[in-house]
Amino acid sequence: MNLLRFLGLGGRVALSGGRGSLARVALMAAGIGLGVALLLGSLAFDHAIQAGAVREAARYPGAQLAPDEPQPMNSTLMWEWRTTFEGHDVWLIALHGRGRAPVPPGITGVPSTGQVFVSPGLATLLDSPSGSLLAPRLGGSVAGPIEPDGLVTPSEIFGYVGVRPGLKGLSLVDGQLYTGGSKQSFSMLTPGSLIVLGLAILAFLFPVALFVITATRLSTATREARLAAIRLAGATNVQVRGMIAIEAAMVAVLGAIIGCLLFLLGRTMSLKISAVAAGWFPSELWPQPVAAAAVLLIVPALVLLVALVGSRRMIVSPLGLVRRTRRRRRGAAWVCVGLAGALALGFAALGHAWVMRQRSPIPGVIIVGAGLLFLAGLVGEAGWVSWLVARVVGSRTRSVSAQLGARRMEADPGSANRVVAGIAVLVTLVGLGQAVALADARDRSGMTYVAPWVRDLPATIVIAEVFDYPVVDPASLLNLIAVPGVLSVRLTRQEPSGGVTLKPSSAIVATDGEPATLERIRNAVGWRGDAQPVSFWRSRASAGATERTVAHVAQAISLVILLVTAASLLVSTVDGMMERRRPLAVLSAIGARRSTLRRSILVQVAIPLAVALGLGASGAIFLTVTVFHVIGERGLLPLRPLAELTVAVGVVVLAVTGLAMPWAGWTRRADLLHAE
Amino acid sequence: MSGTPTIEGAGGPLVHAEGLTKRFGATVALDGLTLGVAGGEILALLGPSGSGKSTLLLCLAGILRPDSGTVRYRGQALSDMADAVLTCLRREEFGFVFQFGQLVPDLTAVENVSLPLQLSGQKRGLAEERALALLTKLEVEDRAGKRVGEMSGGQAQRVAVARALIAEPKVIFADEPTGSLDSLNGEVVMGLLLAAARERGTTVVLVTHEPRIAAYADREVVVRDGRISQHAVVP
Ligand SMILES: Nc1ncnc2c1ncn2[C@@H]1O[C@H](COP(=O)(O)OP(=O)(O)OP(=O)(O)O)[C@@H](O)[C@H]1O
Ligand SMILES: [Mg+2]
Repeated sequence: MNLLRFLGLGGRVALSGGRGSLARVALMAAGIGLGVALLLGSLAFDHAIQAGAVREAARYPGAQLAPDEPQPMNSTLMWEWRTTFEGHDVWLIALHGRGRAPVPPGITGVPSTGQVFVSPGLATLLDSPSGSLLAPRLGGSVAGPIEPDGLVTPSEIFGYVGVRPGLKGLSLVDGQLYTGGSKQSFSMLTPGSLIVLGLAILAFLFPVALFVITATRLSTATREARLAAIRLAGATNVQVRGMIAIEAAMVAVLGAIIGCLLFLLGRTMSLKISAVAAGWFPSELWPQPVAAAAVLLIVPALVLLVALVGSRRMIVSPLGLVRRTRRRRRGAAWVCVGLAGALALGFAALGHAWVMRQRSPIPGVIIVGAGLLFLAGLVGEAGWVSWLVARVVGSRTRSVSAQLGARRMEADPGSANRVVAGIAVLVTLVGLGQAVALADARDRSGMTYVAPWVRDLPATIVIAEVFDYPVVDPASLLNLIAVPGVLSVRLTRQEPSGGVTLKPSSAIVATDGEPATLERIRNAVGWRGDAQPVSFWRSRASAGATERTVAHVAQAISLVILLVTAASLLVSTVDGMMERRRPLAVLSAIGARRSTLRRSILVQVAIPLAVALGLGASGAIFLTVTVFHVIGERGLLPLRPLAELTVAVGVVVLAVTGLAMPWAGWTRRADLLHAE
Repeated sequence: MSGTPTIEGAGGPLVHAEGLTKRFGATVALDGLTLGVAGGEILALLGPSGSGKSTLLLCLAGILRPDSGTVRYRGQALSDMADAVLTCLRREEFGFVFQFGQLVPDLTAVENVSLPLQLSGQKRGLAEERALALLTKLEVEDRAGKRVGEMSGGQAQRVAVARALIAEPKVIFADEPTGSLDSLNGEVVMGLLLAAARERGTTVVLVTHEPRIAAYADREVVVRDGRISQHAVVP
């Protein structure tokens, strides 16, 4: 057969099945497109994050001067000041160059004393009505802008200030040499947020993959009948498989195109959001070409592979599919795998002292290995458990609707099984991830300990601190009394973070409570110190912000998982009804109530999700308890997120059932009873 | 269950259709057709393909609403009944057998057969016991725990007949119940259906192409172009 005709035949196989197969191709392509778009999107953000980190590293100093060493020739000395203005973080770097001094990125030369180069964000702040309160802190006049190649983000509030040592209390000793920046960029991500991020990407991709697989299994019966007809017309099994491959390839290419379009659309739209536009350079919000090419090659290749593997199990005979017999579902073996993992973790938890005494990689290998074993078992057994539950419900229930729904699930558990496995693992991972992130946030809130005396101060108090007090005379803090709005100044040796110093390094400044007064105090404290209101210290102590962010991210992830999974469930439920429309129409004819059919759909949707939730929640709790016990940390049970997930799953069950209703009504149409 | 019309039509036909018209777009499927079916009668509807037999059957059973004309069951017009009442009527008084594809593929044979009883609120255990008894009578008890996919066409049709009979309906509507079977199997299934119907005095409205099958009936009616063309009473 010549290739072109063969290709055409493959295309016709894909599209000739009427509305059903069109829907199948469209859903598959949409799912692949979504996955490709998500991958491209996360690659683009990754690229932008890395580019920003590289630019930030380019500002870092490289060496320290030895005490009493003069500034060498052809060098740049720098001092950093991170201060706050009206709630914005302001990052200032003071520079002093000698000879042919190395220039940090974004400016053409090291500014001379009194020259200030500002980022667009800082320029905007200086031009604002209260900008005159900020100007004294720079101590010079604006000489020009910092070019984008010197900025971490477009909206960064950042400035280079040209100084002379001795000015503003900047001494040679605490200056650092700029040697062209650090080559090593530092990730701003903590291990906790890295785990959350990794889980997020996994969590987004997993349900999308699930959706694609569900779509490939749509209208199987009709499709197999069509393929059988093609075989009857004389095609060999190899040819039929070739057609399936061509069809899959077409869908994959279509999906890749849709993915690119979706990515472009999402990119354009997200750049319209001011937070995104402020945080990212549009020119960097692209995936790196190699990575993008890899995605565009690997995803379609995977789709093709799945289609081919799937078709291997399908024996298309000219007489239609060989009659299907009930297959025994495997699962018991996976229960053993999961149990082995659970036992290993359990023993590790009991003997955690011994485990943690082992040399470096061993404890990690034990924990991760046992955890993966447990998860693998969970994936393998999840579908089997829900099939078992459906079987028991189907054979025991007294309600016709439960019988119909459960038997439906039992007879064709493929797509439901995938949903169960996916949701169970994701609930487990999200639960564990939340526990890790919560513990992480808790540990970090311990680091930002705030002394109790701070908490008892009145709200109008500002705490001014000077760092490097051997250089700066702390007594200069007493001069703050001259600042308008300041009522009293009292020096203290106690630091807000709990330390005690030999000489007083902090001042408790009572003010009139005006925001402008705070800024004037900051101006007066100058480069070697900073001032923060009491409210700042109090909010640091609670550290609730991190926890809330983590919780929000996890909620968003769970929501997306659930939505995409709900879409898969909806599609497979509706497809199941379409494939059974005749028997269902007959059911209506023999007097089944509309509500019976509705409730059967509810049962059919609820069983897999309930089983998944149960398995996932118990998996999450088990893993959290054992893993935290092994590493000897006090764990936090992610009970609240699990409770929220339960509510969300309930909503999903009702939503999918509700959305499937119109089709349930449709199967009552009398004309379905006519012979087809 | 409540809502079932129980008023006996005074001596008239059990099912009576008058002036039935049904159009599908430009196609006239039924064209002012009038027909009465007496209680206990076995009536065969014959006629060429596309003449409107299936449409007529669906109208008589209250599944399809005619464009004009009325169908009365025990003297009550089906068009006056609410959907819930009609559903109940079909569940308790009517039984159906179609040519193919009527068994729920996810359920076993016993479960399929017991479905009408369960739908009327009977206990599952009891319903399945009766279903098994009926399957035994139709000689397919060995398939009781199997699904449609594991049955031959003839076995599936026997299960369907059992399902139509189990609730002891007053009327059985059968649309080419043996159409997908070979003639031998067809006759066996037909024999089983009609024997059970006669034994219980059940009324049967039977659509068929085959004169051999029609010969089992008390009366044959030929439908042509949506109208009754000829009456013939088989002695
Ligand atoms: N749902 C429908 N939509 C459109 N046309 C229909 C529909 N149902 C039936 N028809 C048309 O109405 C006419 C009568 O159809 P019907 O199925 O009653 O014929 P029949 O006598 O049962 O034929 P057969 O012996 O082939 O089953 C036919 O022309 C058919 O094409
Ligand atoms: Mg017909």
